[in-house]
Amino acid sequence: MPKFWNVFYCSTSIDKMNDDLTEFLSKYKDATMLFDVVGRKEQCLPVVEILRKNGLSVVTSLVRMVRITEPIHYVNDIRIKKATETDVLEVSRLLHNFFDEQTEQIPYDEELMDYAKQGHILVCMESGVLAGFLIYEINASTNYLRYWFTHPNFRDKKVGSHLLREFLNEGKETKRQLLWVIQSNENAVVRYYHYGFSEENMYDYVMRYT
Amino acid sequence: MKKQIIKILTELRPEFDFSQESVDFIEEGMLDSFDMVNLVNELDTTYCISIDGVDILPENFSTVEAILKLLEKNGVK
Repeated sequence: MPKFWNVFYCSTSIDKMNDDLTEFLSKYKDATMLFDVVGRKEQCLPVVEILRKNGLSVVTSLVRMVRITEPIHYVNDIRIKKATETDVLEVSRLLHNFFDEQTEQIPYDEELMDYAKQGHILVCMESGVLAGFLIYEINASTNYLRYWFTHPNFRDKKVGSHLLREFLNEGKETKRQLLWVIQSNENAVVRYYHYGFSEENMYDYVMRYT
Repeated sequence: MKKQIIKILTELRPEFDFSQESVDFIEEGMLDSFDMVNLVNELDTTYCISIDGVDILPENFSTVEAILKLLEKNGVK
């Protein structure tokens, strides 16, 4: 039995979803399942309500933020480099230690290795220790920030800000940067605003059934 | 109708130029799956239709022509 299931479902109507959901959940009463309800707030809330009535609860909610590419004040930081295979193992360990596997969709090690091969994992080294990392994807004109992390032992050393500036510099040929942030993480939201991101009407309500 | 589709797309993602006919919006990263969700909502509202879930495929939103065909399939003229 897996620890939890991610459920992917597409429906043509709320009524059909309600019927399908009732039937589906009755078959898997003992499973832990996670549902992501994604869309505009006004689209999501009726679906969230149906899921609530079927016994699910909102674990967390994320909002999408966008930034249109503009020149940044970029200063090369010698602590920052592209991740090697050895770094990937440490990045994986930190992801599993500091991120919530149920709600933050931690990539498999194979996926992390692919990111590293593409040069899309930036790491910040402090005296030989991995102090922070940033993982991103570039799809033609869009640069997606997937994970941005500074180890608690290295806060206030400008690790995060230099990683983010490096990420913005890497994506200077793209037209926009996108990311999802947990709404309740006010510190992160404020930081993203500081770097020119703004919130979109696009939400992800992570709901759990146990 | 092409102009109206371009207007909808531009309102959705003002950072991009959707008037270029040779560009594939999906391949170029101008629309991702979440943008498609919003686009379907806009098209449904604008044209009083209900695009079927099975038609929510990247290839149906990759160009203005593809969107036009999808609308025609839904009875929009």
